[in-house]
Amino acid sequence: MSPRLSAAFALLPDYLAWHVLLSASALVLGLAISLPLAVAAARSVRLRWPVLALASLIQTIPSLALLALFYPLLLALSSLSAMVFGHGFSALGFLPSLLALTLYSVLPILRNGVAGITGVDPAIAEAADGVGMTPAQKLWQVELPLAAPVIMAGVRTAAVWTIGAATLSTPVGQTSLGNYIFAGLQTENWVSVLFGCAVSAALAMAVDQLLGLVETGLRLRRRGLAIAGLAGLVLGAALALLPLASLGKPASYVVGAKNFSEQYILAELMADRLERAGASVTRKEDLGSAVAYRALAAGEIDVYVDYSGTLWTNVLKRPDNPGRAAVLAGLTAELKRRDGVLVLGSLGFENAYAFAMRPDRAQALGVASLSDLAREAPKLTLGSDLEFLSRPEWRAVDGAYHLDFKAKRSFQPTFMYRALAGGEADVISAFSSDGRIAADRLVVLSDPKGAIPPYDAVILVSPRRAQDRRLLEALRPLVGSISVEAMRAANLTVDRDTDKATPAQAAAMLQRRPPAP
Amino acid sequence: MAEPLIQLSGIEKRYGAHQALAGVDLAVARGEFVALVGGSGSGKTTLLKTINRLVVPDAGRITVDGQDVAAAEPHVLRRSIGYVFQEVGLFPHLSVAENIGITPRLLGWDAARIAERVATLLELVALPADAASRAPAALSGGQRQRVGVARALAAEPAVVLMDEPFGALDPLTRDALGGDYRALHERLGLTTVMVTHDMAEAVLLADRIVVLGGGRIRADGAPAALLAGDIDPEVRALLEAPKRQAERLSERLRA
Repeated sequence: MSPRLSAAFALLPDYLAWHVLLSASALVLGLAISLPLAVAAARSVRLRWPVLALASLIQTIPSLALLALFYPLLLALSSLSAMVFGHGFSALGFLPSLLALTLYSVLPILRNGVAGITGVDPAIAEAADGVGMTPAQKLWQVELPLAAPVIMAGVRTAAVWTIGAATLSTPVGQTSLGNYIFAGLQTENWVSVLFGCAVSAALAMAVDQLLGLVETGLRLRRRGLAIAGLAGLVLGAALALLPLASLGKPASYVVGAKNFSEQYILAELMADRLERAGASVTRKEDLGSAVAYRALAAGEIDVYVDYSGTLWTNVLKRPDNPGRAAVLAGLTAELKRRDGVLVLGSLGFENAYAFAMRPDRAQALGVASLSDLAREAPKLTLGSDLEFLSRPEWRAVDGAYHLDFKAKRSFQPTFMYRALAGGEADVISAFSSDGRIAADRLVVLSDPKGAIPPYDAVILVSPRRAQDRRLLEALRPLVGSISVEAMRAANLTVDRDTDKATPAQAAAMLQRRPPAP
Repeated sequence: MAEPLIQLSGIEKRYGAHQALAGVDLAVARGEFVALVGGSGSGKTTLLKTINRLVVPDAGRITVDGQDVAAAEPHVLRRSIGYVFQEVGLFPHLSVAENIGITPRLLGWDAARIAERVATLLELVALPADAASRAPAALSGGQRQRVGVARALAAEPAVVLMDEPFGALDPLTRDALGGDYRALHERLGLTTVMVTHDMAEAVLLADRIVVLGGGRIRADGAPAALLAGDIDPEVRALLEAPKRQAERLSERLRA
């Protein structure tokens, strides 16, 4: 078996267990909500329309957005609960994923439930009244049994949707089969992406078939078939959940990472040092950029690496750029004062936004700086990552140079480099520590007006670990130890198309290098 | 006449702009077999359903065996009144035996007593004993309505309400089932109120015919007495229809 495939298999028990736990809980919760709602909506025409419209509306919200929206909501609820009851709860990971997936499972069950109950032959409903059933007896003994096959068809749809959408819980910090897909997309590990898709599809199909057995059993009134289907589901879920039961000991430290290769490598680096110091570590990877800092401030992750310019503009909302040292000093003081977050120090390299072009193109147009770029921009297409154009850094650059591009297109970082190579973009918003800059011999445009803020990679420690000596001692040696060249090389081993290294292997490579001068 | 078993007084019911019942008074004696007849929209089915509260009247008072039907819980009332209707409404997910035994089960009878009662009823409505375990879908239309009648009689009610019970059956089955039911009515001492649009059926089965029209009672009496009395031409035409039909039939068959 190829090493990438066996690496994927090694992660399967954990990923699958969480995926099953999440989907099954969401489905059970969704049933508990939508069945009573379906009964109420079937009884009252006045209630039916608004309830179905609301459920349809929820369904139209893109899944990833719905998952992300629950995070700030839960964070607010958690701090409220901390204020009132003295302790909060984790707003990251399982809870927002569960709530969003539950909402998604409501519509198909609700819609089929209403259709099933209102579809019961009026003569049979009248007979139920006529023989002297109470409304509850009529529901349980006549309407629900007769509507059961239609309701089960809705449950099947909900199950397939939920299992598919559960892969999207990875960016809010919940381990799922989505970890294969998101991490694979970032590191261009297509084996991992395909593996994640295949396992999630196989899971969805297996569950669909078993639920189909239950549905057929209910429709043909063959109890054995329905029981066999249910037994298969319960047994399968129990088997999948087994790894979680043996997980046992809680992790003492949670290391966070955003959703790109460098972050995975640095998270592995920190996790490795903590584990060597005898601590146990869990990783929460693929966090959204804005989610990561808030999660740290709220103590849901203990440590992660962020970049000084990002924190300066996005967290402190500062529009100015007083220079590299002043930004770092300002951050250290201000984050401590505001959120109790400790800035342990800079790793020694910058990962700044950098405008990059293919050398042939830059030469032909005579572009070497952002001022030159402003002159040629109306003829050019800008390729950016998904968030750059909505970030203050872009507004700062645009304000300083007035970059009036012919077109602006957004890509996943991986595809952004492809677009530049293929000529779909003339200039891209690259990252200065990206290994692909060196590998593709890209020209990085200079910034004579100093509009782009500095982006020193800094280790951030959560308020509750700010005094934790074991953690601080394990991580402090990393401060100032990584040069931009070392980081680029490490990033490239993960990002390149052939002979890929895993983030853990790249991290080991960084450790072996002599510290930066 | 002794104290009536069913007493309706001043019954009114309105559906939107349509006045379905415009003040109906009716008394049914114990043991009587009453047919409610009239054209469609005459209010006959609505009137029948007020007795077991499947329809709640806007005004008026109904008593069954001296008890105001509005005073009891509807399901308690309905368990004491048999109800048979054209669509039968057998529960498709239950066996024939479970369908027949449903009201006794709701009343909390023990299993042995229910099984015994189901066996008795199958014999009473002339169904083979092995029908008990079958699904309703496996029965013919006539057999299904026999199960419907058995279900209505299961909890030993004194009153049976029937809404065009044999209307969907073929003429032979209809005749046989009508005759069988009339015999049961006698044998069990039932009080039956039956809605029908078939005047011949009414004349053949009922002791007394009540003609409804426009939400009111237009005529009321034993079939022969009705025709002898002074009634309006419309009602007379309705009552004489089966007789005219029979005469034409015998004429044509003779020719």
